[in-house]
Amino acid sequence: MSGEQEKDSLSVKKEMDAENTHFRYKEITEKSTKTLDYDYKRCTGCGLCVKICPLKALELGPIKEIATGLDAPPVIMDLEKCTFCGMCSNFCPVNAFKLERKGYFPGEEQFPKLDSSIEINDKCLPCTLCEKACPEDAINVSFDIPKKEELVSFDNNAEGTIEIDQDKCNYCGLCSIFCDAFVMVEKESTPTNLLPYEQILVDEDKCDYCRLCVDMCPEDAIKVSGGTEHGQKTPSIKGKVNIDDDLCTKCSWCSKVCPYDAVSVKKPFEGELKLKEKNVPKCDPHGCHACFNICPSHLWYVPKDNDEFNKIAIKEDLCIYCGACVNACPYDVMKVSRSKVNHTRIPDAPWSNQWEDAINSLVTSERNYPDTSRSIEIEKEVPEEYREIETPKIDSSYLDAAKKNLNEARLVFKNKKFRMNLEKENEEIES
Amino acid sequence: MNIGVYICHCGLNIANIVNVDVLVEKVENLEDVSLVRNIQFTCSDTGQERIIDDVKEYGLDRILIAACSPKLHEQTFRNVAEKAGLNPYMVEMVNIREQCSWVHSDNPQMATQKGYSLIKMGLARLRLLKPLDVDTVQVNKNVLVIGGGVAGIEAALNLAESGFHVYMVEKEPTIGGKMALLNEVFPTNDCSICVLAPKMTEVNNHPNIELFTLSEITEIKGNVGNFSVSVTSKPRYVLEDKCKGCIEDCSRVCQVEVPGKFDYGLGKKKAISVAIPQAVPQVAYIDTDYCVGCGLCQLACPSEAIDYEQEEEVVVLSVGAIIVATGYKLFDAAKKEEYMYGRNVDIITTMELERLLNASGPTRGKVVVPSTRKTPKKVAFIQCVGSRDESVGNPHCSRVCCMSSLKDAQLLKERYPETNITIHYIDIRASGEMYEEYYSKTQSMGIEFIRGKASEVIENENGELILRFEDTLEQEITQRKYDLVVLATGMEPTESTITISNMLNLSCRTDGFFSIAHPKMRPVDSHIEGVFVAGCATGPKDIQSSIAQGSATAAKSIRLLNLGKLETDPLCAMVDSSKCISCGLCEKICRFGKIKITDKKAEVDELSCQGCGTCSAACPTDAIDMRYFTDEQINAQIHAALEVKEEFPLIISFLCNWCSYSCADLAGVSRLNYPTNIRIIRLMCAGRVDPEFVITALENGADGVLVAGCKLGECHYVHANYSAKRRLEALQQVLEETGIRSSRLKLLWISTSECDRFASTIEEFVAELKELGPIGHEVLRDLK
Repeated sequence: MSGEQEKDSLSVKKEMDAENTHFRYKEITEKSTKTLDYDYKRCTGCGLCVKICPLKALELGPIKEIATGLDAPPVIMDLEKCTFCGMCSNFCPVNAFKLERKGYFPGEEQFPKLDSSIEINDKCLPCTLCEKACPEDAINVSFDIPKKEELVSFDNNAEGTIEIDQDKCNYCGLCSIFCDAFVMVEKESTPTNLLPYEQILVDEDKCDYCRLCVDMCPEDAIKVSGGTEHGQKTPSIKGKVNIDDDLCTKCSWCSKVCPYDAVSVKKPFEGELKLKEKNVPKCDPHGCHACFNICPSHLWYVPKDNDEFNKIAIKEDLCIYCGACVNACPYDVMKVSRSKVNHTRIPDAPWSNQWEDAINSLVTSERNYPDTSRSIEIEKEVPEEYREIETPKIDSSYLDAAKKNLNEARLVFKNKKFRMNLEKENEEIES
Repeated sequence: MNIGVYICHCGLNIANIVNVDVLVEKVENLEDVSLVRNIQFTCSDTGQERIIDDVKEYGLDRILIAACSPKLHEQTFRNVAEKAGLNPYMVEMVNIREQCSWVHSDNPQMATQKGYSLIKMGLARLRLLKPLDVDTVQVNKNVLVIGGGVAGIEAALNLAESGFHVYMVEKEPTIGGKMALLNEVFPTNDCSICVLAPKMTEVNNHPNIELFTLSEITEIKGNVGNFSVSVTSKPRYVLEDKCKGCIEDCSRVCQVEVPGKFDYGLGKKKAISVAIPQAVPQVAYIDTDYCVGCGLCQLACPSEAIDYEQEEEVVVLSVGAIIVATGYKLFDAAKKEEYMYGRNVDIITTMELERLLNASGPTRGKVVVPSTRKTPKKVAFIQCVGSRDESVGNPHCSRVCCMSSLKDAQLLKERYPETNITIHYIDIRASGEMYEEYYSKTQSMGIEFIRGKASEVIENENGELILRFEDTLEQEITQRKYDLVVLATGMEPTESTITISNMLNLSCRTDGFFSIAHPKMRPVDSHIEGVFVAGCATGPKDIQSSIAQGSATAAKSIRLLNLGKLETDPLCAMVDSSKCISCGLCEKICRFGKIKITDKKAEVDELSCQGCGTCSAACPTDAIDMRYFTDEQINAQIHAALEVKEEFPLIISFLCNWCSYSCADLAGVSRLNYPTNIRIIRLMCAGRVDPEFVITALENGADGVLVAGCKLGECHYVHANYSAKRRLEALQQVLEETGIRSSRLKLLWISTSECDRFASTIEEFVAELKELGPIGHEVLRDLK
């Protein structure tokens, strides 16, 4: 292999730049550009990318410190080693890595990726619950319902009663979207109490007993008497739920808070999250808080009846088994194991084996790296520099003298008789 | 029926012991005999012409020749019959020389009587012989060579130059085998790849050779002359017709470093590379174990030769003969834990040393101590690692490691004259041409030889290597420090040996290598017709022997296929479907796979049936018979032998055509004398002996039955004598249980050379039977 490259051979350059919380790593050639975008704030330090990287180009940063407040990237990349294969970006559960390919590369469908999804089915009304409950603010519900004022203007003189049956009300909040007389008292959603509201009140000053809300309530929880006839009908519930895939971590809070079973979530992994009983006493939930901060599903909480052995608790249904908590916890309080990885099909290609190995390593933690430890490398020897040789100086008269004698010898051998005798002699010797 | 009987004098060989005139008188009166003659030398031109004339004149339709062993002249007299216009299978030869006159020279009276008895047996069979036809089958003249090492290459080139089309299937990405990886080869110290590469290139370019690399055989169906072979080729992901083999661009941009497989881990390669610099075909391939799919190689290749969508290809080939040249595998030195291979990097194998010495190896020809990268000052070779060693399951000698280590020692000494080299050996085996001289030269170069087993390699406190060994000449056990320890690892059969042997029904020896048809006389034939084996696939050998065997298999293939057709052997099994109950026993018993149950009836592949007769003996309903040596014929011989019980005891003996009949003949050739009490019936194999035959013999008055076959493990039909042993031992038990002494049935497993044992066995048997009394004696005695 020659040291110099020809003009039309490919050269590969790697670059990095940073913008806001994004590190952008680039691999640039004459015919292509690959950009690997890493959002370090989005990253939870779960370390799955570090596990699967085939060339060990990724390394975990100080997760414990980051979880308790240090502002640093949880995953550090060695740009020299990275080959921009895209395994990290295809298997990041929170979409912190994104790989963009420009150039003649195999299509995205040629590489498997995490198969997790979230779907809203037609049981959805929509209502306000999932948007309020989502801990990552990934859900946005847009309602297409006219307000009460647009249908019936406020009747000052109306008289009547309005009552909400607290047993029937499921805090869907539709009434409050429709009419300002309803006030939803919000609260923090917690793993044990996912509802984002703690109370629903009616401001009777704003209510004119128009009764339009009665039919709106999906649970028939509102009773109104009195009011005046206005001939308007309750509008139908229309709206759309938009979920931002980049922000959604498939924690399934929305699914659990939805009273109508309208959300189906397919989690990226199946597995188990357990607390290590003998380490729980070391946990310091109020001082440390690392797992609370780092968990993309926000499933950690301090139980009400907490004691030495019950300092911290989990709502395992919300877990996506990413393992970020294990990296963040300084006291080794929890254990995460994965039993299954949901992924798209691995197509037949030269790289299928490595990608399959990467996916399996998420479960087994064993990765097949090429072992070049036994290779021996020695420096190339540089050949000695070339020096022009000096021709020796010889007196030509020597050769001239010799030539005469040589010619005499030649004439002897041209003598046929001599030659015949010579050969005959030889024959005698040989026989 | 018009039978002509010819009693041969064979000069004085028969005539001076057996009274041939008396025989003529007695035979003349037998039924169906139209003509009896006695002739001086029946096999001579005169004798043969006499027979032909008689056939025409007297209208003879079958002939009996009482003379020497059929193993000598059966074919001669078959040809005579054909010339006379008869079917060649209407001839019976009776052995009154090797098995009569030569072994009973002390008893001419009995010998003549026995001669008469043997002729009666022969006539009984002859009356029942049917004409048999020999079919010719068109054969496919293509040849498959499995394995692209030096043996396979030699075979392929010889065949291709002779005009035969060859398919070569190699599982690695390049041909050349292990020889292509070596540095220099003994005893000339020629550069290995320099002498091999021209042949490798010729294979790739030859119009008569089609090369499949990165390919394996998945199925072989059919028979000699018409095999159907399925070959699966794994994708390289590189287009062979576009890749220039430069690997400058693709390999350079690939960022995945992998351990070099052909450097045994001592060198690094990329995930896309060419196997060795001189690879044939000179095409890159992607290592699917480690490629991650970054896509850069495809962009970088200037010839657009990379195709990620390439798929596995399956091809079905039709060939007439198969040459197995799958080579060997090196012993895994890590199994000898005491030598610390794999735990310390300064302990390497001889193959790894070859790669270091090789100019296209990882260090470009510099031998260095792996841990320090410096030239070694003291090198030890440990011989017989993984060979001659029961503890790792390899009692065999790998034949070439002694010479290989001598060669490596010479090369090291030439390059590094200051280095001290010691070879720790048990024996030095330098048995080839100019090998002993090579050994002397090695010694004269100052290389030290210490005789004694090296017990272990340990590390001292400084991490240096210490070798503990015995020095038998100095009679001491001591230890020494070395920089570099080289283990001379032995040869083992490849992993593909088991797959190939299953596909082709080849058998392997106890050492795991393929077994050959006869250890001495047929070195490149396998037990299966049409399949030949060459090179280290049949056992460790040097390159010269592998090349010789490669050429030999090519010659054998040409001999087999050149005429374009093959004659089938009519000595096959046949099934009477009306009796068949499709129990499937025959299918299980036939190890050649030539009888199968189809549509609830057993069916024989008559073209390729080997004719051993085991299925026929095993069949519980007697639905299977053999075309030549039918049940009827054998029963007729038994009855004829026992018609008149001329002596006591009288033994009926069934001898197999291969080892035991030849052994009896050899006893005659050696002029050993044994008692006349035995009447021999020839069969193809001891496996043919149906328990019914034994019972018939005893029931008609035989006092004893002797069944003799090849030694276990040497059966001509590979497994049939085991089947015979099982069956007949069961019969012995049953006989004993029914009150007949089991010792009346004697089983003898004997090889051709053991004629002494044959003679003494008969003597012992006669003595035993004399003691036991005539058949039935024990029944009466027990009743009393």
